[in-house]
Amino acid sequence: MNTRAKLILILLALVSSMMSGSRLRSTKASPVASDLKRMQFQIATIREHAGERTIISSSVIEGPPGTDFDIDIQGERFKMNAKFLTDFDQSNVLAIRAKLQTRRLYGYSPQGLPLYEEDEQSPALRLGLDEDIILLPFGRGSGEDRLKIEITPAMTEEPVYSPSGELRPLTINILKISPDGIVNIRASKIPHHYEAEARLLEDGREIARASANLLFEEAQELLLRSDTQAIAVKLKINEFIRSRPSDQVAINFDIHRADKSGNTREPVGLNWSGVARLGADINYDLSERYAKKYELRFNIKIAKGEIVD
Amino acid sequence: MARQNDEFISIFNEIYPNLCRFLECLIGERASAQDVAQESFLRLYRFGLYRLPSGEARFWLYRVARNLALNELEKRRTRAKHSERVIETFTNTPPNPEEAFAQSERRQKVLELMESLPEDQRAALLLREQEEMSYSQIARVLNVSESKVKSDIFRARSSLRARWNEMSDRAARTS
Amino acid sequence: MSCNFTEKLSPMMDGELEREEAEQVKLHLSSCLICQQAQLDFLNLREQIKSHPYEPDASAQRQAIKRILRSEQTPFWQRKITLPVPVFSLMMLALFAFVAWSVYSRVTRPGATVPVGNYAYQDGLDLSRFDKGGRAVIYTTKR
Repeated sequence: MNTRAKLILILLALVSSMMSGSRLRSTKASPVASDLKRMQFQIATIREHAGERTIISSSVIEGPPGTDFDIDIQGERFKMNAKFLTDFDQSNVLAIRAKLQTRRLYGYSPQGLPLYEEDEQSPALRLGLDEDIILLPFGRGSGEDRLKIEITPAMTEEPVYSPSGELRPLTINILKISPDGIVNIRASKIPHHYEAEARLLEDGREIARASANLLFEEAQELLLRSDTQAIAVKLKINEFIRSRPSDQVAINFDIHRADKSGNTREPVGLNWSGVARLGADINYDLSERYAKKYELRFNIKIAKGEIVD
Repeated sequence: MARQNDEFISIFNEIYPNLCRFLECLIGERASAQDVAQESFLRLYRFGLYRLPSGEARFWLYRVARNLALNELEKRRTRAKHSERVIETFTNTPPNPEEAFAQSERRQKVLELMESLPEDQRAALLLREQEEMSYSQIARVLNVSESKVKSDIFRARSSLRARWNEMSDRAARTS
Repeated sequence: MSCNFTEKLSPMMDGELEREEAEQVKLHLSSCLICQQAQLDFLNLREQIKSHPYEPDASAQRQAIKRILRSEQTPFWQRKITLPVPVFSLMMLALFAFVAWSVYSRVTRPGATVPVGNYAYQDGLDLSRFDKGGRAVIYTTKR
C-alpha cells in the first residue's frame, strides 16, 4: 500500500471516530444481563428511477433493544409521520408496531379552503435480523419514479451498558442529510413493558384485585371479581412521561360491569383517562354509579427486566 | 436463496446474448459491450430479481445497460479526441470517400451505420429492430416520451437510408 | 423529392399506427413511387440491422455469470486512488481543517448533541414527482 493510501486511511479513521452521535440522556441505571447488545437501525431514503437507486438521505440509529424511532416526511403538499415501536425478544424476532399517518393536500373547497386526504394505518410486523422493512410513502406506484424507505435492523457487538453500569446513550448518526430537510428522523427509548395492578375498594376495603402485564400502547383487560360482582377494566398506557421525582404514564381505560364469568358487559365508564406516577396509586371514584363508595385503584410499574434509562 | 439464483441464471442465459448484441451495436465495440452487460446483470443481482414484477427484468436490464453504455461512450469520446490529435500529427493524408467506403466493407456494415447516428436515435432503432420492442416499451427503457421514440426511429431510418444510398452511389461510380 | 406520407411509413412498419390511419397509408402506397421506394429502403435497413452478425461468446458468458454469483469485488484497500497532486493536496487540507474544527468544537461545547432536524438546504427534492395519490405501503423483505 503506498504512502498516500495509508495517509488517507489514517485520516478517515480519525474522522469517523470524531463523528460519534449525540448524548441525549445518561443516568445511572441498574445493570441487566451484561450480554445484552445494542441494536442498530439503518434508515435510508431512496429514489428509484429508471433502474437506478439514488440515496436521498441516510441515518443510523443505535440504542438498546426496544429503541423506538419516528420518520417524518414533510413536503409542500404531503406529510407523513411513521412511528415505529420496536421490541426484540429472546427468540431473535423483532416485533414492530408501526403507525403511519399521512396527510395530503387534495384540493380546495369552493370557498378556497384547503381540503386534505388523511390516512392512518397501524400494521404490526415481525421480522428476523436478516430482513428489512420497506416503507413506500406513496405506495408501490406504476410510474418510473418511486420513493422508498429501507430500514435495516442489525445487532451490534456493543453491550447495552458500559462497564461502569451506565446505559450507553442513544445515538443517531446522519450519514447523508436530506435536501430541504424533507426527511427527519427521531429516536427515543422508553419502557414498553409494564406491570399493572388494579384493585376494587368498597368503603375503603379491598374486595377484588387483578394484575396484568401491559405493553405500551396496547390495551389489556383486567377482570376484578368480588363475591358479589365483577368489573372488567380495559387499560392502555398511551404515553410515557419523563418526570421528577418519578416518571409518569398517561393511561386510558374503559370500565364494564360483568357477570361472574366475565361475560354480559354493561358499560360503567368509557374512555376515562389520567396520568399516573409510576409505582404510586391512582384512584378513581365510582360511587355515583353505585350505592356504596367504590373506588378503582391502579398501580403501574415498569416490568422487571425492562431496560431503564 | 438457491431458488433465487436459479431464476437469476435462467434470466441471465435468456437475455445476456441479446443484450450484448444491442450493446455492441450501441457502443461499437464487443469487449466494452460484454463489460457493460456483465455490470448490468451484476446490478440486477445486487438489487434483487425478486423485487421486480414478473417480466420487468428485461426492461430494467436494458435501461441500466443503456445508461452504463452512455458513460462508456462518453469515456471513449474523450479518449478519441486525444487519439485523433495524435493521428493528425503523424498522418497528414485525409481519408477520401472511396477509401472510406472500402474500409466500411471490411468492417461490419451495421456498426458503421450505427456510429453515424446520434446515440438516442441509435438506441431507439436498435431496440425496435433487434429487440422488437413496442414504442411504449422503448419509451420506458429510454425514459422518454413515445412521441420522441417515434420521431427518433423515423429520423434514424431516414438518415441511414440517405447514408446508405450515398455510399452505394459512390461505390457504383468507382467500380 | 419527398412526400408527406413518408413519415407515417415508419410507425406503420412497426405496427404503431391506428388501423384506420394504416389503411390510409397503405392506400397511398399503392400509387406513390416515392413512398414505395422509401418503404423498400426502410425494410432493407431493418434486414441489415437484424442480420448483424453476432456470435455469442459462450466462454465470456460463463465467466460473467460466475463472477456475478460470486460478486467478486476488489477489496477497498487494494483499489487504486488516482488524483492529480493539486486536487489531492486540497482534499488533505480540507480534511485536516475539518478534523481540527471537530476537535475544537468538542472541547468548547461539552455534551454537544447531534443536530437532529437541523438539515442544511441542498438541491431541492420535489415530492410531487412520486405522489400519484397512492396509499402508503409497508412490508418486510428478506435481504
